[in-house]
Amino acid sequence: MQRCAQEDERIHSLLLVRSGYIVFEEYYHGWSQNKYHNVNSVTKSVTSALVGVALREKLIDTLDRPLLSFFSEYDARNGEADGVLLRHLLSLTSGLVSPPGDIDTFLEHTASLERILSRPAKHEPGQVFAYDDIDIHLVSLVLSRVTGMSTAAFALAYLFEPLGIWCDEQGEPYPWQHGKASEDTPHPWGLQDGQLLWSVDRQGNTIGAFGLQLTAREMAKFGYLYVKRGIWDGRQIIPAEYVQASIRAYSSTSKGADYGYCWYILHKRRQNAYLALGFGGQLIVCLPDLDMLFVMTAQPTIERPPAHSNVLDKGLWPLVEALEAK
Amino acid sequence: MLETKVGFSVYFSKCYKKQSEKIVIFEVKGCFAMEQLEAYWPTSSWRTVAPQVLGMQPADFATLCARG
Repeated sequence: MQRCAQEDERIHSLLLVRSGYIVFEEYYHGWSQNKYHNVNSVTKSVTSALVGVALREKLIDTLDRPLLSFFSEYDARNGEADGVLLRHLLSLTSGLVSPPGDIDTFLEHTASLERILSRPAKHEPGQVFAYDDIDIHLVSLVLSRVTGMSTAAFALAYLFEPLGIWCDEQGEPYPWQHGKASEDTPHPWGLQDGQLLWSVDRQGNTIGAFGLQLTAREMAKFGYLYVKRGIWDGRQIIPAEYVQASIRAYSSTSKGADYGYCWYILHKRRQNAYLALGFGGQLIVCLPDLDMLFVMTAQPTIERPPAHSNVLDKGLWPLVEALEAK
Repeated sequence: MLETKVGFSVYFSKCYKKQSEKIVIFEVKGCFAMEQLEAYWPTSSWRTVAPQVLGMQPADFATLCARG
């Protein structure tokens, strides 16, 4: 089995949890339990979860709040974001258009709030899915406004600490700072925070769309929170209603899956299955009906199909079908 | 009754007894084995378990790494 994974040099880890226990866990090509990995757009699912936490804390009253109501200093006449609601950002249906992304343009176009909010609209809000990093970055800016702290700091206090994420097994925070874990190279589109493993924009705002680093086991904790409908150790970390709303299909993507609040909904492939997906094969597949989840990390490559395609089609789905047949 | 090779780690003493060169797991499939698992939250760390305890076989994972 290990030999098989070594054939694809891009795969760094595979992990399977069932009924709360790890039943399969392997690391390849120098990766390990204690090595942090850029999770790329899995970051979006974490940012979405933080909106759920903010709802629980009553820092946000409703997802139907207009985007511009969070930024009262902005003159709505300067843009076309007037009808955009928070839920449109989360479902990537704002209708606003961003320039094609690359290392320079993301940082350039997030350099000022004015510039982000003044993007032109191509569609009515809520109508058309368009994959857009800046929409989810805006969610991070909203979170900073309502919490009075950076999104990363909010995550640490209200989501990661209860789950034991960014802690070692003795509960010591920031294990990468005292030699108990090592960090990945920072995401190339963002800037380093300096202390936390989550990239920032030029203004120091936590990037909502990417730039977070987690270990495979921490990714599994995050997925397990969703499998358990937002409950962790007797506490409702994310409201169950928000978890349920997050895994409902609001639009269709070009990847053959539907999209919820930063989760891909796989109901065309399998009922009640959903996926957090990051560029290059970072993924968390939640299968609550089987009390199961699957995590993978990999080296992103542009010139080849992502590493997870084969692993899902020829690995996970046959495994799931075999389990169901038992 | 399900047989598995010696050398595989089985954590739940109620579930098995050693018979010469084999460990025999009773009623691995279904609820009996799952009832032996202690409920916990992996806040500090995840726990691992032999897949047989949950009615799975190591061979079930062979497809995970299959390549086309």
